Amino acid sequence: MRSEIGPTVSLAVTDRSDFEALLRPILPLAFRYAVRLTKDRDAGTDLVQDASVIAFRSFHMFARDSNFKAWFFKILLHRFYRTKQREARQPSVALVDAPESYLYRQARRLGLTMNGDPVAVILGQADYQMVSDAMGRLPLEYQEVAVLHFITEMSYAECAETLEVPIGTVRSRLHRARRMLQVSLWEIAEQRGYFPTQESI
Amino acid sequence: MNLNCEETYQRMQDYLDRELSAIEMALVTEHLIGCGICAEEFEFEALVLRKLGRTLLDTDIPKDLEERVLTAISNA
Ligand SMILES: [Zn+2]
Repeated sequence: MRSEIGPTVSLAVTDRSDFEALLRPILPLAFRYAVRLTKDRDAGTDLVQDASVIAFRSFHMFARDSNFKAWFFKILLHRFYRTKQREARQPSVALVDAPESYLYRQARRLGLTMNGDPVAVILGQADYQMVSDAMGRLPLEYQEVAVLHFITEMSYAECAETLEVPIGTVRSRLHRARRMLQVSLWEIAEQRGYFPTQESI
Repeated sequence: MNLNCEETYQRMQDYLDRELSAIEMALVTEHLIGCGICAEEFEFEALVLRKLGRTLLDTDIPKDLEERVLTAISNA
């Protein structure tokens, strides 16, 4: 965001209160997203704070009839990428070829009953750390859309606006991210010995 | 027009995200009502997505977050 080093625009008090009224409700979402991106609570807090200041200084460029949430998250992402090099980490072969409905097929294969709560059986121990770790194994362009959609529940169109990619790209990345995430979760569950056995059912 | 299992399955993610047109949403729903196999798979997938979404939201928000941000803005 160039605005950060640009001249400070003096804003009327109404602009400030308008801005705060729009920002306040999305701060919790922004924080959760920032923590997922930075993988650190303090860094996440700093990122939200920096993005808020940048957004405030650029607020005169925000079209009042457009989507503030998408606009703000776009700024937050720009800020994140400016302070961080994109990792060119390649996902594992298993992730690249992640099939559809992986966990469902595993559940069927293990004969887990579909009554009750098969998800609890298979993912019962999937706490924040485990899901975060699983997400962390995905290539960044898949993480950013998956986390954005999970946390903010933005529509595909809003995600496209935020990430500045076509809606078709959001759709295919999101679907693929979910497939990879299921395989990734399963791998972690196995490594941690959470692997559900017939006896535990 | 009716959808078969394969056509229904291809629409699963978009359906769960409510990103299909109203007509397509209705076609998928119609198939799910009549097909236990697809319905079970959709239900499972929906549960997984809900569980993952809830888990990712399970982060405490720092109590002073709003105050810190608003202070930073007023100093900007
Ligand atoms: Zn079917």
